[in-house]
Amino acid sequence: MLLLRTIQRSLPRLQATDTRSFLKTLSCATSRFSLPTLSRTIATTPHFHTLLTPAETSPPTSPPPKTPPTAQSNAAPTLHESLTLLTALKAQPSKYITVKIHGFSFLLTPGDKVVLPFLLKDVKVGDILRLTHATTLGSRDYTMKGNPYIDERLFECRATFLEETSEPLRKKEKKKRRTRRIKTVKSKHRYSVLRIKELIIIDVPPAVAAATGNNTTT
Amino acid sequence: MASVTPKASWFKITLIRSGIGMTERQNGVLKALGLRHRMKTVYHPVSPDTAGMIMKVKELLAVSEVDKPLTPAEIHAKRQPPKGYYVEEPGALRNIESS
Repeated sequence: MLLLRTIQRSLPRLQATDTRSFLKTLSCATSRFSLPTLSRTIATTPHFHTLLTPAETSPPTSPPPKTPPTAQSNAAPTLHESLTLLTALKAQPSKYITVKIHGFSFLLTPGDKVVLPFLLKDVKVGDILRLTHATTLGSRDYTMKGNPYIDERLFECRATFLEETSEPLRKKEKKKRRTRRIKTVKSKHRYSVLRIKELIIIDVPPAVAAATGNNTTT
Repeated sequence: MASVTPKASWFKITLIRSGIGMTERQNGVLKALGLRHRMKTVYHPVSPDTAGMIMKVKELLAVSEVDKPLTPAEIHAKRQPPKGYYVEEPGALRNIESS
Protein backbone atom coordinates (compact mmCIF):
# COMPACT_ATOMS: atom_id res chain seq x y z
CA MET A 1 0.00 0.00 0.00
CA LEU A 2 2.80 2.36 1.00
CA LEU A 3 4.80 1.27 -2.05
CA LEU A 4 1.85 2.05 -4.32
CA ARG A 5 1.46 5.51 -2.74
CA THR A 6 5.14 6.33 -3.30
CA ILE A 7 4.88 5.20 -6.93
CA GLN A 8 1.80 7.37 -7.45
CA ARG A 9 3.53 10.38 -5.90
CA SER A 10 6.62 9.92 -8.06
CA LEU A 11 4.75 9.50 -11.35
CA PRO A 12 3.65 13.16 -11.85
CA ARG A 13 7.23 14.25 -11.17
CA LEU A 14 8.52 11.91 -13.87
CA GLN A 15 6.02 13.32 -16.38
CA ALA A 16 7.11 16.87 -15.58
CA THR A 17 10.73 16.15 -16.44
CA ASP A 18 9.92 15.50 -20.11
CA THR A 19 12.59 17.69 -21.67
CA ARG A 20 10.56 19.50 -24.34
CA SER A 21 7.76 20.64 -22.05
CA PHE A 22 10.35 21.57 -19.44
CA LEU A 23 12.12 23.81 -21.93
CA LYS A 24 8.85 25.47 -22.88
CA THR A 25 7.94 26.16 -19.26
CA LEU A 26 11.43 27.49 -18.63
CA SER A 27 11.20 29.85 -21.59
CA CYS A 28 7.81 31.11 -20.45
CA ALA A 29 9.23 31.92 -17.05
CA THR A 30 12.35 33.76 -18.14
CA SER A 31 12.33 36.86 -20.29
CA ARG A 32 15.72 36.30 -21.91
CA PHE A 33 16.90 32.89 -22.94
CA SER A 34 18.91 31.53 -25.79
CA LEU A 35 17.33 28.88 -27.93
CA PRO A 36 19.13 25.54 -27.83
CA THR A 37 20.66 24.49 -31.12
CA LEU A 38 17.89 22.05 -32.07
CA SER A 39 15.16 24.62 -31.54
CA ARG A 40 16.80 26.99 -34.00
CA THR A 41 14.94 25.11 -36.69
CA ILE A 42 11.66 26.53 -35.37
CA ALA A 43 11.03 29.38 -37.74
CA THR A 44 8.22 31.16 -35.93
CA THR A 45 7.72 31.72 -32.22
CA PRO A 46 5.43 28.77 -31.42
CA HIS A 47 2.63 29.24 -28.98
CA PHE A 48 3.87 32.34 -27.21
CA HIS A 49 1.39 34.42 -29.16
CA THR A 50 -1.30 33.17 -26.81
CA LEU A 51 0.53 34.89 -23.96
CA LEU A 52 0.70 38.22 -25.70
CA THR A 53 -2.04 40.82 -25.88
CA PRO A 54 -3.49 41.42 -29.36
CA ALA A 55 -1.69 44.77 -29.59
CA GLU A 56 1.73 43.14 -29.32
CA THR A 57 1.27 40.40 -31.88
CA SER A 58 3.41 40.47 -35.00
CA PRO A 59 1.98 42.21 -38.03
CA PRO A 60 1.42 39.85 -40.96
CA THR A 61 1.88 42.73 -43.38
CA SER A 62 4.49 43.14 -46.07
CA PRO A 63 7.43 45.47 -45.43
CA PRO A 64 6.57 49.18 -45.20
CA PRO A 65 6.29 51.24 -48.39
CA LYS A 66 9.52 52.75 -49.69
CA THR A 67 8.22 56.33 -49.44
CA PRO A 68 6.41 57.66 -46.39
CA PRO A 69 2.63 58.01 -46.85
CA THR A 70 1.93 61.17 -48.77
CA ALA A 71 -1.74 61.51 -47.81
CA GLN A 72 -1.19 64.44 -45.40
CA SER A 73 0.89 67.20 -46.92
CA ASN A 74 0.61 69.80 -44.14
CA ALA A 75 0.83 67.46 -41.14
CA ALA A 76 4.06 65.60 -40.36
CA PRO A 77 3.95 62.30 -42.28
CA THR A 78 3.31 59.41 -39.90
CA LEU A 79 5.39 56.28 -39.90
CA HIS A 80 3.88 53.05 -41.19
CA GLU A 81 2.59 50.90 -38.33
CA SER A 82 5.04 48.12 -39.18
CA LEU A 83 7.93 50.46 -38.42
CA THR A 84 6.77 51.07 -34.84
CA LEU A 85 6.75 47.34 -34.21
CA LEU A 86 10.17 47.13 -35.82
CA THR A 87 11.43 49.34 -33.00
CA ALA A 88 10.10 46.78 -30.54
CA LEU A 89 11.78 44.00 -32.53
CA LYS A 90 15.03 45.91 -32.47
CA ALA A 91 14.84 46.21 -28.67
CA GLN A 92 14.63 42.43 -28.21
CA PRO A 93 17.74 40.76 -26.84
CA SER A 94 18.08 37.99 -29.42
CA LYS A 95 16.99 37.98 -33.03
CA TYR A 96 17.12 35.67 -36.03
CA ILE A 97 16.96 36.13 -39.76
CA THR A 98 15.94 33.74 -42.54
CA VAL A 99 18.14 34.46 -45.50
CA LYS A 100 18.05 33.03 -49.02
CA ILE A 101 21.36 32.30 -50.73
CA HIS A 102 20.99 30.98 -54.29
CA GLY A 103 17.40 30.08 -53.47
CA PHE A 104 18.31 28.07 -50.35
CA SER A 105 16.89 29.25 -47.01
CA PHE A 106 18.99 29.51 -43.88
CA LEU A 107 17.80 30.51 -40.43
CA LEU A 108 20.65 32.46 -38.88
CA THR A 109 21.57 34.10 -35.60
CA PRO A 110 24.64 36.27 -35.00
CA GLY A 111 27.58 34.02 -34.14
CA ASP A 112 26.39 31.06 -36.19
CA LYS A 113 28.79 29.04 -38.26
CA VAL A 114 26.92 28.09 -41.44
CA VAL A 115 28.13 25.29 -43.68
CA LEU A 116 26.55 25.96 -47.07
CA PRO A 117 25.93 22.79 -49.10
CA PHE A 118 27.66 24.40 -52.09
CA LEU A 119 30.75 26.44 -52.89
CA LEU A 120 30.59 30.19 -53.48
CA LYS A 121 33.00 30.48 -56.36
CA ASP A 122 33.21 34.28 -56.53
CA VAL A 123 34.20 34.65 -52.88
CA LYS A 124 37.60 34.17 -51.28
CA VAL A 125 38.49 33.29 -47.70
CA GLY A 126 38.46 36.37 -45.50
CA ASP A 127 35.90 38.30 -47.54
CA ILE A 128 33.01 39.95 -45.75
CA LEU A 129 29.65 39.24 -47.32
CA ARG A 130 26.52 41.28 -46.98
CA LEU A 131 23.42 39.09 -47.05
CA THR A 132 20.62 40.91 -48.81
CA HIS A 133 17.63 38.66 -49.37
CA ALA A 134 15.78 38.02 -46.12
CA THR A 135 12.38 36.35 -45.95
CA THR A 136 11.88 36.61 -42.18
CA LEU A 137 13.27 38.79 -39.43
CA GLY A 138 12.21 37.74 -35.97
CA SER A 139 12.71 37.35 -32.30
CA ARG A 140 10.97 35.70 -29.39
CA ASP A 141 7.89 37.92 -29.57
CA TYR A 142 7.88 39.45 -33.06
CA THR A 143 8.21 38.19 -36.58
CA MET A 144 8.51 40.28 -39.70
CA LYS A 145 7.76 38.52 -42.94
CA GLY A 146 8.87 39.70 -46.32
CA ASN A 147 6.75 39.66 -49.44
CA PRO A 148 8.68 37.84 -50.79
CA TYR A 149 11.72 39.62 -49.32
CA ILE A 150 12.16 42.24 -46.62
CA ASP A 151 13.33 45.68 -47.74
CA GLU A 152 17.14 45.67 -47.73
CA ARG A 153 17.33 49.02 -46.01
CA LEU A 154 15.74 47.67 -42.83
CA PHE A 155 18.55 45.35 -41.78
CA GLU A 156 22.24 44.73 -42.12
CA CYS A 157 23.46 41.17 -42.01
CA ARG A 158 27.15 40.52 -42.47
CA ALA A 159 29.03 37.26 -42.66
CA THR A 160 32.68 36.35 -42.91
CA PHE A 161 33.77 33.73 -45.38
CA LEU A 162 35.68 31.31 -43.15
CA GLU A 163 36.75 28.42 -45.33
CA GLU A 164 36.33 26.42 -48.50
CA THR A 165 36.13 22.84 -47.46
CA SER A 166 34.87 19.51 -48.71
CA GLU A 167 33.21 16.42 -47.31
CA PRO A 168 35.17 13.22 -46.74
CA LEU A 169 35.50 11.10 -49.89
CA ARG A 170 32.60 8.73 -50.23
CA LYS A 171 32.32 5.89 -52.71
CA LYS A 172 29.12 4.39 -53.97
CA GLU A 173 29.26 0.92 -55.49
CA LYS A 174 26.73 0.21 -58.17
CA LYS A 175 26.15 -3.37 -59.22
CA LYS A 176 23.39 -5.10 -61.13
CA ARG A 177 22.14 -8.53 -60.18
CA ARG A 178 23.65 -11.64 -61.80
CA THR A 179 26.56 -9.55 -63.10
CA ARG A 180 30.07 -9.36 -61.73
CA ARG A 181 30.86 -5.87 -62.92
CA ILE A 182 30.94 -3.29 -60.09
CA LYS A 183 30.93 0.39 -60.91
CA THR A 184 32.38 2.73 -58.28
CA VAL A 185 31.29 6.34 -58.15
CA LYS A 186 33.31 8.83 -56.06
CA SER A 187 31.82 11.92 -54.43
CA LYS A 188 33.58 14.72 -52.64
CA HIS A 189 31.34 17.76 -52.55
CA ARG A 190 32.75 21.20 -51.86
CA TYR A 191 31.24 23.40 -49.18
CA SER A 192 31.60 27.01 -48.03
CA VAL A 193 31.63 27.96 -44.37
CA LEU A 194 30.41 31.35 -43.19
CA ARG A 195 30.38 32.95 -39.76
CA ILE A 196 27.53 35.37 -39.19
CA LYS A 197 29.18 38.48 -37.84
CA GLU A 198 26.26 40.70 -37.04
CA LEU A 199 22.57 41.31 -37.50
CA ILE A 200 21.54 44.95 -37.19
CA ILE A 201 17.95 46.06 -37.54
CA ILE A 202 17.44 49.61 -38.75
CA ASP A 203 14.07 50.57 -37.38
CA VAL A 204 13.77 53.91 -39.15
CA PRO A 205 15.40 54.08 -42.60
CA PRO A 206 17.36 57.35 -43.06
CA ALA A 207 15.07 58.64 -45.83
CA VAL A 208 11.97 58.27 -43.68
CA ALA A 209 13.68 59.80 -40.67
CA ALA A 210 14.68 62.83 -42.72
CA ALA A 211 11.15 63.22 -44.12
CA THR A 212 9.39 62.97 -40.79
CA GLY A 213 12.03 64.87 -38.88
CA ASN A 214 11.76 62.35 -36.01
CA ASN A 215 14.65 61.63 -33.77
CA THR A 216 14.87 58.00 -32.86
CA THR A 217 16.32 57.38 -29.47
CA THR A 218 16.98 53.66 -29.88
CA MET B 1 -2.59 61.37 -79.73
CA ALA B 2 -2.88 57.73 -80.73
CA SER B 3 -0.13 55.59 -79.19
CA VAL B 4 1.39 53.23 -81.72
CA THR B 5 2.07 49.87 -80.13
CA PRO B 6 4.92 48.00 -81.82
CA LYS B 7 3.63 45.02 -83.79
CA ALA B 8 4.30 41.84 -81.82
CA SER B 9 6.35 39.86 -84.30
CA TRP B 10 7.64 36.90 -82.34
CA PHE B 11 6.05 33.76 -81.00
CA LYS B 12 7.13 32.78 -77.51
CA ILE B 13 6.61 29.01 -77.44
CA THR B 14 6.96 26.87 -74.30
CA LEU B 15 6.58 23.09 -74.27
CA ILE B 16 4.12 22.36 -71.49
CA ARG B 17 3.26 18.74 -72.27
CA SER B 18 5.96 16.23 -73.07
CA GLY B 19 6.36 14.65 -76.50
CA ILE B 20 6.69 11.15 -75.03
CA GLY B 21 4.01 8.95 -76.51
CA MET B 22 3.23 11.42 -79.27
CA THR B 23 3.42 10.43 -82.92
CA GLU B 24 6.61 10.57 -84.97
CA ARG B 25 5.21 13.48 -86.92
CA GLN B 26 4.46 15.50 -83.77
CA ASN B 27 7.88 14.76 -82.30
CA GLY B 28 9.37 15.82 -85.62
CA VAL B 29 7.57 19.14 -85.34
CA LEU B 30 8.86 19.61 -81.78
CA LYS B 31 12.38 18.93 -83.01
CA ALA B 32 11.92 21.45 -85.82
CA LEU B 33 10.73 24.05 -83.32
CA GLY B 34 13.73 23.32 -81.11
CA LEU B 35 11.73 22.09 -78.15
CA ARG B 36 13.98 19.41 -76.66
CA HIS B 37 12.36 19.01 -73.25
CA ARG B 38 9.41 20.14 -71.19
CA MET B 39 9.32 23.79 -70.05
CA LYS B 40 11.82 24.81 -72.72
CA THR B 41 11.05 28.21 -74.24
CA VAL B 42 11.92 29.18 -77.81
CA TYR B 43 11.28 32.29 -79.87
CA HIS B 44 10.28 32.10 -83.53
CA PRO B 45 9.36 34.93 -85.88
CA VAL B 46 5.69 35.17 -86.74
CA SER B 47 5.14 33.58 -90.16
CA PRO B 48 2.66 31.17 -91.75
CA ASP B 49 5.29 28.38 -91.54
CA THR B 50 5.76 28.75 -87.79
CA ALA B 51 2.03 29.13 -87.31
CA GLY B 52 1.45 25.85 -89.14
CA MET B 53 4.00 24.05 -86.96
CA ILE B 54 2.36 25.38 -83.83
CA MET B 55 -1.05 24.21 -85.06
CA LYS B 56 0.30 20.68 -85.49
CA VAL B 57 1.30 20.41 -81.81
CA LYS B 58 -0.87 23.11 -80.28
CA GLU B 59 -2.10 20.84 -77.44
CA LEU B 60 1.44 20.53 -76.08
CA LEU B 61 2.40 24.20 -76.17
CA ALA B 62 1.83 27.51 -74.46
CA VAL B 63 2.15 30.28 -77.03
CA SER B 64 2.16 34.05 -76.75
CA GLU B 65 3.15 36.95 -78.98
CA VAL B 66 6.01 39.20 -77.92
CA ASP B 67 7.93 42.11 -79.42
CA LYS B 68 11.44 41.06 -78.62
CA PRO B 69 12.96 37.60 -78.43
CA LEU B 70 15.18 36.66 -75.53
CA THR B 71 18.45 34.85 -76.04
CA PRO B 72 18.94 31.47 -74.32
CA ALA B 73 21.34 33.16 -71.91
CA GLU B 74 18.69 35.74 -71.01
CA ILE B 75 16.06 33.04 -70.51
CA HIS B 76 18.43 31.17 -68.22
CA ALA B 77 19.28 34.30 -66.25
CA LYS B 78 15.57 35.01 -65.66
CA ARG B 79 15.12 31.56 -64.17
CA GLN B 80 17.92 31.91 -61.64
CA PRO B 81 17.05 32.89 -58.06
CA PRO B 82 18.83 35.97 -56.72
CA LYS B 83 22.30 35.32 -55.32
CA GLY B 84 21.33 36.76 -51.95
CA TYR B 85 24.72 38.27 -51.10
CA TYR B 86 27.47 40.52 -52.34
CA VAL B 87 31.09 40.92 -51.32
CA GLU B 88 31.17 44.05 -49.19
CA GLU B 89 34.80 43.98 -48.18
CA PRO B 90 37.39 41.84 -49.94
CA GLY B 91 39.63 39.97 -47.54
CA ALA B 92 43.40 40.32 -47.19
CA LEU B 93 43.96 36.96 -48.87
CA ARG B 94 42.79 38.34 -52.21
CA ASN B 95 46.02 40.33 -52.55
CA ILE B 96 48.17 37.27 -52.12
CA GLU B 97 48.64 35.78 -55.58
CA SER B 98 49.00 32.05 -55.25
CA SER B 99 51.61 30.86 -57.73
